[in-house]
Amino acid sequence: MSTVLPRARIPRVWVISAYLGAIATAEVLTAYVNAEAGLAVHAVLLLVLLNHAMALGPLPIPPAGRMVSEPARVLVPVLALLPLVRLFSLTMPTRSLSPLSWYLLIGAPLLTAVVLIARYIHYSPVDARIWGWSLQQGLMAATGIPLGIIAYVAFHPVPAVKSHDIPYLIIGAGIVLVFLGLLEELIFRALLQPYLCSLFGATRGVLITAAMSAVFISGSRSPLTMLFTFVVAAGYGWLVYTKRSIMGVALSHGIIGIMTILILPNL
Amino acid sequence: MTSLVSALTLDAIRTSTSLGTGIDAVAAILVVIVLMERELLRAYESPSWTFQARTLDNALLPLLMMFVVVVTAHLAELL
Repeated sequence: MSTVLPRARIPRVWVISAYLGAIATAEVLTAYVNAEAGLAVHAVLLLVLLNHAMALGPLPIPPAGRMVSEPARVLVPVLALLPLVRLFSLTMPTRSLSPLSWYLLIGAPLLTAVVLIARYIHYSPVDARIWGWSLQQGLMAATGIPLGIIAYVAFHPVPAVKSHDIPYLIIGAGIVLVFLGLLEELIFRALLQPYLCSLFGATRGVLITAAMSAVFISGSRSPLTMLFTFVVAAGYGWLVYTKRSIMGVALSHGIIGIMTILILPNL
Repeated sequence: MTSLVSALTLDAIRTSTSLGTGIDAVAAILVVIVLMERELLRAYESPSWTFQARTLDNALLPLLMMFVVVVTAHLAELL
C-alpha cells in the first residue's frame, strides 16, 4: 500500500539561515565542548537535510549554462555536504597511517559525495565555467605562497609532515592539492556560494560562505586562525564570484596546504 | 588552514582505542539509520522510491565507504 505525499514548499530564507546556524553551532560544539555531542548534532542535521531534500521532490533540470531558479531548494541537499565534512574528518584518520594518507581517506568519500550531490542538483562544472584558466588565475594561485608563509609563521598549523624524501613529498603535494585545495573550494566556492549569493545577494552570499569556511576551521581552536580564514575565504569568494573559475583559488588553497604541511616544517 | 585535518582530528586519534570511540559509534549509528530508512521506503512501496533512494544514496554511498575504512582500520589494529 502506498500514498503519494504532497511536496513540501520551497524553503524560505529563514529556513536556510536556520540550517546554516545549526551547522555552525554543531561545528562549534564539536570543536570546543564535546566532539561526540557535536558529531551527533551533525548526524541529526544530515538526516534532516536528506529528508527535507526528499520532501522537496526532484529538482527541475535548468537550461544549459544556467542555475536552477530556486536556490533555496538546491541549498538543502548542498548543505548536507557540510555535516559529511566533519563526519569524515573525525572518523577516517587512523593512528597507523601517515597524516598525508588522512587527506586521501577523508577526501575519497567526500569527493564521491560532492560528485553525487552535483549530479543530484543538475550542476555542471563545465556550464558553470569553474575550470577556466588565465594569467589572472595563475596570479591568484601564486598568492598561496605568501599566504602559506603567513599561516605557518602565525599559526603553526597541524599536522606537519616531517620528511626529506622527495618522491614522498611530491606525491603528498598532489594529494594536498586535490584533496585539500580543490575539494574544499569545490564544496564552499563552487557548490555552496553561487546558491547562497543567489538567495542572499552577492555580498552577503560571499560573506556567509566565508563565515562557514571559518567556522569549519574552528577545529584548530584558534580564533585568530578563524579570522585569517574568514578574510582569505572572503577574498577567494569574491574572486570566484567575479571570475567564476575556482582554479586560481583552489591552487592557492592547495599551495597554502603544501607550504604549511609539507615544505615549511621541513626547512 | 584546513577544515579536514586539524587539532580536533588529532585529539580524536589520540583518544581512540582499537575498539573505537564514541565518534565511531555515532558514525555507525548514522549509517544504520540511513540504510534502515532506505529499506523501509522500499518496503513501503513509495511511488517516488527511485528519487528517494537517490537522495539518500548521496550520503549513503560515501558513508558506506567510511564504514568500510573504519571497520578495516579497527580490525587491523586488533589483529
